Amino acid sequence: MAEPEEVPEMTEEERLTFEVKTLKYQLGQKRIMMSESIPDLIKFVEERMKTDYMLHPPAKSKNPWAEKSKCVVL
Amino acid sequence: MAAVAAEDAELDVDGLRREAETLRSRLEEERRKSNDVQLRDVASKLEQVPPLQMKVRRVLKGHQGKVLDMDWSIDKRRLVSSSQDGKVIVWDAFANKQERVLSMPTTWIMSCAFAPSGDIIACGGLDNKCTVFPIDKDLENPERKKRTIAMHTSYMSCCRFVKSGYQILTCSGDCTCALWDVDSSQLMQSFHGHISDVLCLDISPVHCRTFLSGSSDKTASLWDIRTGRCVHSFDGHDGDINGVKFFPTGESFVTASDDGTCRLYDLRADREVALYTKDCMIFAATCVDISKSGRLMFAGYNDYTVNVWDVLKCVRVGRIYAHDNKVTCLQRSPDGTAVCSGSWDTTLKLWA
Repeated sequence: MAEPEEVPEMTEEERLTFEVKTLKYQLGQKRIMMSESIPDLIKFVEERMKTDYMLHPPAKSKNPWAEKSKCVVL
Repeated sequence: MAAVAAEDAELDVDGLRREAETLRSRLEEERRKSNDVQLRDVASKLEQVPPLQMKVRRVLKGHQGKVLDMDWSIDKRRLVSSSQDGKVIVWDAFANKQERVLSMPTTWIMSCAFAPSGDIIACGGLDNKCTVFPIDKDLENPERKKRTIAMHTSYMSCCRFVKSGYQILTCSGDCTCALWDVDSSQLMQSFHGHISDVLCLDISPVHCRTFLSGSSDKTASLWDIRTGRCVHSFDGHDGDINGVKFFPTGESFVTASDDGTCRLYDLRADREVALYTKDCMIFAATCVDISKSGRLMFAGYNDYTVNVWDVLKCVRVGRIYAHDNKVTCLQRSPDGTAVCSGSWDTTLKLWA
């Protein structure tokens, strides 16, 4: 099977032309205020915290990573 | 004539450079406008997170050299790791067993990835290539079935499968990222814009239309996979960006850098939102991931520790003396029950 082609390289002029185009596009993007985005972020986290194992580990019997007891009840 | 033409081209390049500079300062100005509140102030009303109870549950031993990368399988049980010694190991992390040990002809396998199908893995590094292996259970010699599916002009620093479809994203020391078709090894799209080595990437958890990259040019960028366009580009870090990870919403992301800090960026506000650092922390942050809810951030450092941060309150809530050498990679399991870390100490550890 043929080897894949290499990713092409750009000349400095190509790169700068591309960068100017990119910056113009980025400048035209819509932005929202942090006072709007931060409460959304906090709400998302708070809704999911109860089911986050790292914050609320499950009981040992339900923790898939807990070492099983090696003792056997006779 | 030739000299005149060369001079014209030089003028063009200078003109473009000036234009880019002007645009960049205008962008900076626009971004400043959205900075009306601080995350740590809004989050100050929140309750503190409960004390961490994580401990080490498995120590995966098998590599003979530095562990450089790892990736979970979506079955939440297996993972793949790659090492400086040229070996790639597929683990049943749950049972602490090696399922497959693959040998590559070159050393420094800087990245490895598990396909969503669970029966293919990809890897590469200093060989400038991305190679895939089938790892079906009944296959005896996966090495014989290996295929090169991607090629860069410098080392491949990271590879990750796109969840929808049979494609893989790679990034490289050649300043680019690239999307490849796994079946045909065809280059589908290349992503140009970084001016130094691209070190890490992460695909949006919400859809497969965008991905993030971090570079030693100290910027992190968001790319449109289909068009190849750089939709956002952020600076702020004062060193290589070694790790990037989307927030579960897909609307924010975190970074880990050689400057010893981690940062949170918001895509909708188009700016940096938080900085995670302490005066005493001077070692490079190499890798980063986020708990399922997004409240905790785990970051691996060159001082052998994993630090746990409260993302919202922007304070450190835990410090794990995780390894006996630099921590190089770290990833939360897909179901959020565990975090796996890999290190130059040749081991991987599972924390839950």
